[in-house]
Amino acid sequence: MFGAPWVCRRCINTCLKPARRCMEVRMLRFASTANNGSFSPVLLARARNMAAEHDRLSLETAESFDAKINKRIGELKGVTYALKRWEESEAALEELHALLRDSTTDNELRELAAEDLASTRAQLDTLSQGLATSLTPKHPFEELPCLMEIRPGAGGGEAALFASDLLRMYQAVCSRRGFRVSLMKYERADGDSSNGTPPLAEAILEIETPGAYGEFRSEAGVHRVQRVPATESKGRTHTSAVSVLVLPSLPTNASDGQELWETDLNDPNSDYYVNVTDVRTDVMRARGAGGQHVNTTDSAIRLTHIPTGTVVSMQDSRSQHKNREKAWQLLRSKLAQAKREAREEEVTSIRRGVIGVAKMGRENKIRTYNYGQQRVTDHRSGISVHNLDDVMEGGFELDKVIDSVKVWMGEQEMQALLLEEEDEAVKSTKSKKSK
Amino acid sequence: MPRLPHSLLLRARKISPLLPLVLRGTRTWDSAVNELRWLREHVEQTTTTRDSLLSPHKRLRILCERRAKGEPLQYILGSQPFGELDIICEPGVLIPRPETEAYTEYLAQFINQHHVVFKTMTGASLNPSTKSTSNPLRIVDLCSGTGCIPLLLHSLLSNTFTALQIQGWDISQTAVSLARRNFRENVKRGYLNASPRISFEVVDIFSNLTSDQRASLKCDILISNPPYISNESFNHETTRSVRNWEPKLALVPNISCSYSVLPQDVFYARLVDFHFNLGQSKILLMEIGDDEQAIRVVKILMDNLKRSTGSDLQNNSIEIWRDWPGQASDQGEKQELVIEEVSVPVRGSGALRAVVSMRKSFPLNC
Ligand SMILES: C[S@@+](CC[C@H](N)C(=O)[O-])C[C@H]1O[C@@H](n2cnc3c(N)ncnc32)[C@H](O)[C@@H]1O
Repeated sequence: MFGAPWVCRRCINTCLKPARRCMEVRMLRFASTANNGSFSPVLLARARNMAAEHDRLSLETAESFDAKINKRIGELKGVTYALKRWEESEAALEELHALLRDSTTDNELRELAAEDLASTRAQLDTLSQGLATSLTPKHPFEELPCLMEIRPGAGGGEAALFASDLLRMYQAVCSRRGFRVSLMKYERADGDSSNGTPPLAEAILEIETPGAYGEFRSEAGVHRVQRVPATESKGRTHTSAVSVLVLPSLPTNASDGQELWETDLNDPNSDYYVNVTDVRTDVMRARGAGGQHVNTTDSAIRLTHIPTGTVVSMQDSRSQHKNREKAWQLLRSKLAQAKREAREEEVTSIRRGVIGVAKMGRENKIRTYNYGQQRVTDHRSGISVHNLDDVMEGGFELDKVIDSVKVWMGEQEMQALLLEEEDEAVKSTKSKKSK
Repeated sequence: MPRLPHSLLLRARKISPLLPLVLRGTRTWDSAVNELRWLREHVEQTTTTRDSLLSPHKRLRILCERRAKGEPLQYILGSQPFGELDIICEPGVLIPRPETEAYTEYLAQFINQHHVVFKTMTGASLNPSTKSTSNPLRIVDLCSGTGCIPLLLHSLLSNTFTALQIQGWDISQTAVSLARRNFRENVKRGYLNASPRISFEVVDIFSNLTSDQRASLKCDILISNPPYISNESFNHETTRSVRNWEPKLALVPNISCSYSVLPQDVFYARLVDFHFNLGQSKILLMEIGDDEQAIRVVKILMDNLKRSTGSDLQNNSIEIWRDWPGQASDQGEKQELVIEEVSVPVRGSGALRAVVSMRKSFPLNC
């Protein structure tokens, strides 16, 4: 049983270089720890079930075409292929072992087999990694663009300043990576802006490139800063916090995959469906008589989703129309995320101690930016980098941190998967016994 | 006008030395913060030859000083968004209001929902293979100002009604020229289809109408946001920015005529006359200024109905729309008013904003 998140510190420190490799190595350890060196039997059973389903469906569609079934086949393809390669490799290894065990094997052959053994083992390792990766479920929002909401938390004006620093950091990393990004909402707080940066009350970045959600979901949570504020005369270090929320964004205007979204928006079972009658719209009311008597520019829109009490507001554009559109986009994103989290919550109880990954960190401190030590530490992956400036400029050091968290998340999912399968295995043996 | 509290101005100064200026113009905090941002964006996006010698900061400061004197932001920036359109605004022509936008959108939505009824009513063929050009949906907007109402109706209806005839009339040549320019500009920017065209004409609706004009009034829909403010109310209830910067011709009726109504209601008497006696419009929609005016206008409608054929009251329905007619009404907001023993339904939320009269010759009240 796994209690606290399983973190391999040595691994983090030594194999950070190509992050992906690190993930694979650790995942393999994971998948195999369950059963002394060989692939976890529960996961293997899962893979075999999926492959069997794949083959059965393939036979079915050979006779009649069905889009739904075809989609499912597509989903199962990866696992099926990875399993096949893994099984071949394992069979080869088994054959070599058999040769070596067999006393009648002549010396020359024995030597050849021994030579092959090492490379076959290595190959099996790689294929095990592949199989493990193919089994971890893809996050349903992975391929979507995203909205990133940044709000100062505890720490007053200093938190507001750090919020604008983070905003700039994410804008920079997006532009370096070639992600389309626009500022959807920018609300400033009161305070001195003599240094040119108006302190932030709330900002929402729209990162329009597909896949941005998968890229940045690791960033959700509380970011803590430790530094001496510009306003602090005695040189004391302050600690303040900024919270970041990452929401899936649902493209509503003409773009790739538009059809998909339109059907999703109208399907009551979809995460993105919002019943219009559940939403109350409020506009700024003109004071006094209204109509021809006043010519104010109020264009603010506030939407309230009555069943959940979710409130969003938008006043950035002079056009009420645009504000309404953006507010709806934001509301849909928030509700889709909430629905997803609710479902994850359910699964979590099955997964025993493992925390729902998407939700992880929402209220938790995930990262510390320590200016005195020029250090950034992520509390999930355990990584520390010492080039704070490069992180804040959205440079490669930030990529390093983000990648390490992705590795950590992959691990979490793997762990959850294992538990889920074990749980099911236990259940099925129990029900067999009781019969 | 109450003075702005000193503490508020101080708080504004802390954020930017320009914010107190804007605040003097807007008089509310949120608007000031937003308007300063929009002014800044405007300066960043535009360089005119005239002031390109000035630094952006200096130009921004000049704009903020204009705003401080109460000049409307829409005149400073030169536009006001309206639905998905952008309406050019210039001194001499009234700035489009959000309430106008709301009922125009609601009306368009209503027409689109009942497009089959409207199409059969106008005798247009429903067969898509025969283009229904012979019997278009005809709309006339009286007192059209910037042209915002005809333009928005065009934007919202032209997809459903291929044959659409929209006219806008205004007494002011400045307004008519601006309305025509607004049509051109919005077509140019791709916000509107170039056809069907909208025609804007200089017409004083109290003059003796030509036979062509009379024929035009036999349309399907008459809509109007006429001047409706009394002299008294102009002096006390309009904001400084409206009073000092927008044309009084657009706000206060200045007509001596034979209708026996209050001076601020004369346009309604004329419009109702057109609706019942001159034309045979199916729908008449009139913006109004306050609750009392709404009730007076309903009475004008009822009087006319009684006078014309006596029994027409049954063949006609009257509704009042609030500021946001599409929204559910708030607690405490009446959903009907009883006027001269007749129950008049009230739609939406906000202040009473429009009186709508419809012929019952088609089943509109669904
Ligand atoms: C309240 S504004 C409405 C403008 C525009 N429809 C809107 O909603 O923004 C009234 C308009 O009526 C015009 N007007 C005033 N007297 C008129 C008259 N006798 N005949 C036609 N138009 C008149 C004014 O020029 C002004 O543009």
